[in-house]
Amino acid sequence: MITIKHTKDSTAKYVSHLDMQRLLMRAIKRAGFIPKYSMGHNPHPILKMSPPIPLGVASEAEYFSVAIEHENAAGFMDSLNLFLPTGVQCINSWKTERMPRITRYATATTYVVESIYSSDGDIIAEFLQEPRKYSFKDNIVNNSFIRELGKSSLICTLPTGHQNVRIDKFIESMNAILNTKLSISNAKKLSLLLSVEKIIDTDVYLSEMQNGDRYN
Amino acid sequence: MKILENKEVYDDTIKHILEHVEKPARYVGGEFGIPKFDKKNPLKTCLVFPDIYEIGMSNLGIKILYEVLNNKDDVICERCFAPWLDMGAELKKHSIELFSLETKTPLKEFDFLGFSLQYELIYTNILYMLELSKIPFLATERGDEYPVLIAGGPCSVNPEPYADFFDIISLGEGEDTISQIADVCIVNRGNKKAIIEECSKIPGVYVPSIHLERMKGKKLVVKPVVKDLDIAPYPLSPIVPNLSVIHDRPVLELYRGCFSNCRFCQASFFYRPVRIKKPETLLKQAEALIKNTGCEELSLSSLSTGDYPFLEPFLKELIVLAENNKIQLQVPSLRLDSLSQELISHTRKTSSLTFAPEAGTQRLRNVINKNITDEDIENTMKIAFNMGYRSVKLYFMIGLPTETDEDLLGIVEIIKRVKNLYFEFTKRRDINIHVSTAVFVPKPLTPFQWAGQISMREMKRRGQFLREEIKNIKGVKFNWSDERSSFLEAVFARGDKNLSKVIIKAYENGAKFDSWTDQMNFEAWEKSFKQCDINPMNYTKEIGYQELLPWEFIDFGVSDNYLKSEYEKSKLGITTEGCKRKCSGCGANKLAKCSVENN
Repeated sequence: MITIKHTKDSTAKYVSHLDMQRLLMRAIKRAGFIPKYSMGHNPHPILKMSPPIPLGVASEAEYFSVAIEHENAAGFMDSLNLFLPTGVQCINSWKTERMPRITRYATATTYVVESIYSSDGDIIAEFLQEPRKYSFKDNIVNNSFIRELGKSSLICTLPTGHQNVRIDKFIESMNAILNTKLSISNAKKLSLLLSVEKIIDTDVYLSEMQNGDRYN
Repeated sequence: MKILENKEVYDDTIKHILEHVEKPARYVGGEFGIPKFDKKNPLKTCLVFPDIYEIGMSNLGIKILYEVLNNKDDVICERCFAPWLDMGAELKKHSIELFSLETKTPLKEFDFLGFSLQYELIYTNILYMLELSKIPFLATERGDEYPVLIAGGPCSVNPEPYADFFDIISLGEGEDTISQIADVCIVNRGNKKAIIEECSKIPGVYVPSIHLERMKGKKLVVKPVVKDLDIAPYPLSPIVPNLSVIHDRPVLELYRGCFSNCRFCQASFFYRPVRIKKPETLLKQAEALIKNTGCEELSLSSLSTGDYPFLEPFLKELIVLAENNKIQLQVPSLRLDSLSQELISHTRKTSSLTFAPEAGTQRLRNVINKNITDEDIENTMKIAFNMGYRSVKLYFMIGLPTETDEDLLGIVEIIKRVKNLYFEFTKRRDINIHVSTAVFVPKPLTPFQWAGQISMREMKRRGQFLREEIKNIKGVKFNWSDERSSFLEAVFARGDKNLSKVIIKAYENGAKFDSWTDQMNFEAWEKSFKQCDINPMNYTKEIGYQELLPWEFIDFGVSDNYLKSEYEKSKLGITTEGCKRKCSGCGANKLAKCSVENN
């Protein structure tokens, strides 16, 4: 089992989750790898992707796991990189005994939101200092973790799962409160956090799985 | 730095727009397979497809021309598809000109634009795309600052209705022509007048502003054809779309032309002479397509795959290739009787069998020269039911020349017979039969090019007559094509120069995407014909042999006398055998060697 961490930006950020799955499978086959197929009446290649993000949001932390007859994860990644469309580039790879359970353990997603400007001047600075003072609708902010990055950007960690906060809804709320004109193209996904015993980055989870088989 | 700032604003605006439209991936490019555009000072060309991305990216012609142009040392070629209504409105609202997929360059900035015209009901979309590009509609109104506009594709069979919009029209198969046009453009860069003049000397190029004597009965331009498909350029690493398109798989073209002589079929005569690819070529190309695209399926394309002379041995090898690569084969319009069942069972399991008798009685099938007998239909169904099919699609045409209500009842008889056969074979009654009827449209370059089309009222009556007869048969679904589309298609298929002003009016009155049934704005068309004082019915009437046809100045290889004699034979119900065993003498072999002669 090989897991790849990859980007999804530029023109690829407009590709839907389902289309992405087909796109990855085709790239793998172009690169000359033979995926393993599921058993059963209608065999399909075994490929699992991290949870979908809204169309139009860029990401530098997408993951997919594939069952493949190949020993060397890094070699697989390098070959694959030659056969991907614009905006999809592999940045890390892991080899594990079993299928990682990224979607199952996913608990929060971290985004950076850049170029936050408002006609209301100081409100941005005030907001970035103490976002909890502002009552966003549906408690979006209270359920999220926000920290300031610079004068006009922030990093937010939004919960997934039951209390899911979508980045597009988050930005909509920001626009309503702060009188900004942000859109989803101001946001970029930085990382995916998992809740496995404790909250860890997906990269850490995968490395531990690769090394010690800790979560198998 | 000013320009850069503008560029950023421009990019930001596009990004903003893309957030508000359906399927933004249609407009951004970035797919795998786009060549690197690193040529120095190249001729900038763009292929324009006046329908949406999903349809255009399924078109083989576009892929071939893209390959031909980008393979040239000093040419780059990009793509542009018609933006769907939401995107069109956003572009207008933000004053952003329509741009190419690859480099987001406004269409106006290209050296030439090559429009691919696949069907008549897309002519208003030419204007839609020109308007979004801020390019004037009429060739006479465009100076040197605008790109050279070229049209080509199947609609080049009768270019007159849209000829005023273009500088150059490439007739027939475009792979050689487009390359020569590009060469002329490079030599005469910036001098549009010289380009157009020089292009008129290229075989197969029709220049409306130079070929003025076209209504004098002389043949002025000869349709060019690819002489040898085994060595012709073919896209073996086509662009792989990022979003799901209509035909989401690479296409392997088996041969061009057709061995059958169905008298209503334009494609059969347009793509003559028959030129087949060798099985060795096909297998090599299939392997490359599978490897280079990584797609899950491969589809075989030709006008009648079952007629490919080496089908059985070729398919045997292709199936091995498919199984080794874990891909499925899509084999369209197969005649089940022409193949062993073993081979069919290896192709993609479609849930239903498609069969097109086209007409309900043997008499009418003889008239149209669709040489299928009731026995053939029965045999095909038996094979299909044996293989476990329980869903059948039947295609018919209504309004064919000489058709009577008896012929329509013949359609009902066929449906009943298929149903009974299924019961006899399976002792079950769970069959699904989908019956689709299209209205006959007389098309240029067919023996029926002189025939009339029935009135819209009559189309409606015959459709309703059939529906009444069919509605009580259980398990049968019936749909028929929109009569307004069929009528307009007939008008523009055989139309003349006068229609270009109607197209402009119709676009101004709100018509676009006319081939999309839900977008058809017939009121706009009715109003436009009135405003231009043109009676569209004049174009759907029977035409006499003495009348000059708007496409008569083009030599398509197939001789006028052959078409006439086929029309006369049809009136007497005499059939003409397909070309497989014996050449039927259409005349197209003067253009290139016809594979029929090899048999």
